Amino acid sequence: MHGALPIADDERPEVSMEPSERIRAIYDDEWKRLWAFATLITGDLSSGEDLAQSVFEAALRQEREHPGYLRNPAWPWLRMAAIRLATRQRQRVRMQLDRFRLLAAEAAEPAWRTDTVDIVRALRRLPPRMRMCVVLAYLEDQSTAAVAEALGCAPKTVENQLREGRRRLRSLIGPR
Amino acid sequence: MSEQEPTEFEEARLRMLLHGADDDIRTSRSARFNRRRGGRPVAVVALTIVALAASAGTGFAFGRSVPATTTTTQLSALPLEPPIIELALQQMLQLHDPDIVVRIDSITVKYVTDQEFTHAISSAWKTDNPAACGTFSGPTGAVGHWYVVDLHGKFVAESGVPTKYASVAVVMVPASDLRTYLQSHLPSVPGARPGQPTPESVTAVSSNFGFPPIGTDGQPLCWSLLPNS
Repeated sequence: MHGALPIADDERPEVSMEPSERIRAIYDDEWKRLWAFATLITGDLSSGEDLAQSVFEAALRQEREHPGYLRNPAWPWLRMAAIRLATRQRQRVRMQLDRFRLLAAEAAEPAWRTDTVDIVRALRRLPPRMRMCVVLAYLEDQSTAAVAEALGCAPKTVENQLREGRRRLRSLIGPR
Repeated sequence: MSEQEPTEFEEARLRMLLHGADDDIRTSRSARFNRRRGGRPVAVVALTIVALAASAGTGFAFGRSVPATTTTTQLSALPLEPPIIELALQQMLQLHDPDIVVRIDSITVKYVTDQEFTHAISSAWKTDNPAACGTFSGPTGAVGHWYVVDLHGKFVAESGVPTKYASVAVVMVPASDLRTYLQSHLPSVPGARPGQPTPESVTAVSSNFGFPPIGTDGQPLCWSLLPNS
């Protein structure tokens, strides 16, 4: 189901820590990575932060209900949860609206390099699914099949989205 | 030169740019934890549209209860011009999000204080938990005045089919800067004078409070905590 969170495999680690401690350890290791990933797929630092927090809230709930739920490494689960949370119905509408809202918001942080400002601004101009395809394929190095599975669409769709995404980004960023 | 080469070049460039962005974002400061009440140097702008599948398509109304400890400022007392806001919102929505907005029939601008709004949106917005109505665990530094905009019109449903909805949009801007902000983004707004927008109006920081959960009556939970000004 597209809107469901990913289900961890049966191979679970030894449960030696309290759920909150385990999530805290994962948080310490993966928070910044997840925040960056979520920022790139939502196109906005604050939205990315919200999404990343939602993922950890979901992780904590799962870990409390099913100790040892998250396998090591936790990153694939976190990434998939971010994708699926972001594509849930309410989130989908919200992200579309964010496209509008983002037009009024500054994309850049003062410390970001010019290239980062350019790519973040360009990414936020893409439709959400196209943006996810680009980030999953070129930041996360996921295969077309893996991206298609994560987004619940056909591989051919992913190929088309990537092709169109490259074309739009080329026109937005410009050739160099 | 084959077609494959430019594609690979582009892909390599995208990888480089995304990894560079990834590095930069990881070193960013959280806007949430750096907010200071009364001290934020930038305007806060948030626009949230809550599409409610109202059966009749119109007639959505705010609840009538008002938190006893808060005050409500009437719209007429504010330094704003509703027609400008309405036109600007209509233009912005239609220009920038035609996927959702087909037509806006009417817009009603209401006003609430930040205290009222943060109280009303509450933790229920984040948790989908009706029991959390009236509580608030988010950033306490919300600074500004909320314009609650009641949108009636025709919108595109999730199915992609245009349907009638009653919707609510919430715009949060400093009251004194609203006109400047809109004009700086929409020079075609009547009465707008080309000019240098203020730093506040340009450097807007989004404040994402999320969508309210929808109750069984089709209305956003906790929405009744907003004043019916």
